[in-house]
Amino acid sequence: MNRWKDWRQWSKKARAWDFPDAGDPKIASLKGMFKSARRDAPDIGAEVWRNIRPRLQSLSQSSLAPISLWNALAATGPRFAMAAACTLLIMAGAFMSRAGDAPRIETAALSPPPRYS
Amino acid sequence: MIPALPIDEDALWVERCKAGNPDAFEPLVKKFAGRIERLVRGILGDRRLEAEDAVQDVFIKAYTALPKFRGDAKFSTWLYRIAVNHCRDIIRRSPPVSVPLDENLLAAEEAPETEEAGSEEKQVRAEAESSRQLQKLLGELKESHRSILVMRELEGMSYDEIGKALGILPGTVRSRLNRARAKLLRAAENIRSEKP
Repeated sequence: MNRWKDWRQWSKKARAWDFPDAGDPKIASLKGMFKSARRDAPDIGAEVWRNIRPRLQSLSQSSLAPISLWNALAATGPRFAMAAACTLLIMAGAFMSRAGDAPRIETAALSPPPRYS
Repeated sequence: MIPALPIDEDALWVERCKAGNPDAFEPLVKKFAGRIERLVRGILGDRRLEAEDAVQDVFIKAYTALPKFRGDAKFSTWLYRIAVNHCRDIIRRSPPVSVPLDENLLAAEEAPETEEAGSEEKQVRAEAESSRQLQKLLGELKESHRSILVMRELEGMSYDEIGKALGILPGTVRSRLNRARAKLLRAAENIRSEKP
């Protein structure tokens, strides 16, 4: 209960913050500290720009460069070739394993029944 | 006669960047770097090295996300949002270490000005120290309270702008700000009471 009362007291004090003449020396002290800190705005724009410019250049080059077919092929070519070779091998394997099997159902259906032959 | 609409210079630079001119980002960096640095330092507290890198990362993130910027909010508000989210990521990765506070400075802030207070050097030193102590005080609060205090008290942003930057309603901004101020006041009081 005491903690709650204590908190309410601080909260009530804080409400006086927005008034120009709060009268509370603690609020005046803290406002003074903020005022000092407000004047302390370092002029670091040029330094920050110098440091980030090369990164921004590379970012904009990578995002804005026109799409080149050669670059796209160079980037995806080896993986594409590997995938194509694998697919071809699988298809060839499947074809060869079915080569000696019985005729397919469709072919059997088209041939005349044994008694008429 | 129809009054001329104010030209949003930031929006013009943003459009040029979107058109593929990275150099158009320079005026935006130069305009907002100091403010973003102050915001990031306010939220990250004593992690000075992380804060330095964070400012650069915020601008790179913003540049990369520019195509998604629709212009519903001001560029600065959007940039603040990126900065706050980036700071949250840093804090999530490694929680902050609490640094003991110096009671003397709070006493000095409250003390009336002495006759020798005119010295410029003294003033600069006092301001730097004050700023350092404020960071330590802010370090006593949780991140959501720190962010809101820095945006309101250091950057002078309106409730509406803070709400947009943090993704909360202006009413929530008001109540959270009051809680943050109360906690800051209590933290400052605790420093005094801890002194033997």
